[in-house]
Amino acid sequence: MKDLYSLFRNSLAGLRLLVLMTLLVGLAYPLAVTGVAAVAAPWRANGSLVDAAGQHVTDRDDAVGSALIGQVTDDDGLFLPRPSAAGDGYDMLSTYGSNLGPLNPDLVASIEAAKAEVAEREGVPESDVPPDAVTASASGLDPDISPAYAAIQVARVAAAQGLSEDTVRDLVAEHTSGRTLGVLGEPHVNVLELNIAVLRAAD
Amino acid sequence: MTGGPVASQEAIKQIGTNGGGFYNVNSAHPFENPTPFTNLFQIFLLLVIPFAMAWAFGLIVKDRRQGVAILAVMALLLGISVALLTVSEMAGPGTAPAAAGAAMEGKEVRFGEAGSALFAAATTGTSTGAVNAMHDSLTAPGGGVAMFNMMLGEIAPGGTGSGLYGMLMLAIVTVFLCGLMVGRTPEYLGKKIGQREIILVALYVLTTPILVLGGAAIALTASDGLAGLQESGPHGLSEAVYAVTSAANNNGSAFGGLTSGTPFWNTLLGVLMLAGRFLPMLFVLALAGLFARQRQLPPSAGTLPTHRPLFVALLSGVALVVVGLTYVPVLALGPIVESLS
Repeated sequence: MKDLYSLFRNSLAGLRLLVLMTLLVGLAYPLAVTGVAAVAAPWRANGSLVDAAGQHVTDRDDAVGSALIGQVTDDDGLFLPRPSAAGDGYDMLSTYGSNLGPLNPDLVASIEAAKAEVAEREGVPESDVPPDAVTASASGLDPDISPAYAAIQVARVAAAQGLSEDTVRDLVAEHTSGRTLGVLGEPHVNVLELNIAVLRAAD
Repeated sequence: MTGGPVASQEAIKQIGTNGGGFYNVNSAHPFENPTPFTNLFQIFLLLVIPFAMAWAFGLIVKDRRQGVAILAVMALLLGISVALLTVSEMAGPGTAPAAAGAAMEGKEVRFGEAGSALFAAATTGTSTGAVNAMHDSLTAPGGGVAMFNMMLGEIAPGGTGSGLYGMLMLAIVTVFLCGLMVGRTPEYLGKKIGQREIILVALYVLTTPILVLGGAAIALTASDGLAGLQESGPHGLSEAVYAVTSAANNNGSAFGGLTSGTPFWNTLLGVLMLAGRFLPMLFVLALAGLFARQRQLPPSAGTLPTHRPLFVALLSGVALVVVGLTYVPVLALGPIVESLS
């Protein structure tokens, strides 16, 4: 009887703790983090949106996209992003990397086809096409391209927008982020921000 | 646009070595992991508690040197796997990386090969399983290292808590093997390792390999299992073996080309997860009970000191040899033959 009683008491204590912790870490904690983020970093908390003027905005209706999410464009006068395996390309509702293995013949074929296509589009030899231009990213939403991929697109974009190649090259340099603290990650160019800058310069 | 309380979940995911992402592509998604700095910070979070556990162990047994020795083994094994994975991903062996010029398939530009390799080593060395690159597209030796990290039992540095007890079980194996060599009853921290104790340790060490290899055998002989494979040949084998290894060790990362959303794979992986988590815990708790009943013996002339560099080297060797040898045949048919082809 005494054992039963202590079992009951211990179980009740456990149950109370469960309810308390559920409320605390399941409800109060995410709400608190979301609240602090909304006040301290409203732009980032709302998805890092930018408008057509390149300004940071928090309202979706004003935005042309998110600085963190790549998007497809069929406009040949703009910088183009990497290949994407997310849905039909850059689909936020079906984020995916191809997951094809390093010896997969289909992957090799698609890389070679992409290489030929990029080389022809940009008018450069295939050996100048960098790896990120012909491979799908992990998320399918990669917002960045390598400086090398941006470099081979400069001539086409400059011609289409009626800008000098030097102007476009300067814009690329302006939107290139180096390695964080000199060691972390790789240099990358944000495609959306670069395209906005190009369109504004062409106006 | 898809959003939600990503930031708060991200912290739980990494610091708890849980690994379940807010989005499908986990830490590769720019909203989960937007910059190279957040990438490094996530790696720090997922390593911090497992490494701290080794230090805490030193404090608990009132001999910090014991904790430092365990910590050194964890750091050594993790260092080796980071080095191997990074070299492999930067070199980019294989026909697809060769065609593209680098192993960038399934990787994000902002992290690059090195940032992805570091993350892959850390997430499989712990029981996290979050990913910032698609592991199925890792180079053959890189994917093999990720798999081997999990096969070690996720001890370098392992999950929050489970990493420490996994490493301590291997420490007991090490002490036992050394005791056999000099013909004395082995002891660890003043506790004698007798017959009943070593049986529990043996059961612990055998459980996960039996689950992994048995699970792989079932998957590869059932047509429902083979139906899930995306790739053929050695990489197809790797997909199946990676899946059962990840499930039995409670990692959660995957060679994502495998279609695991079928009744067969769901059932198999679910059973492996349950057994792979709770059976080893049972043996650890039983052993702890036996040790708690023993009185602590003072160290004698024949006691193997377990805080010296010699023990660090022995324990690392035991982890690599005892655990590694179990999996050499299956690794040889998967990642190793793929690396050589």
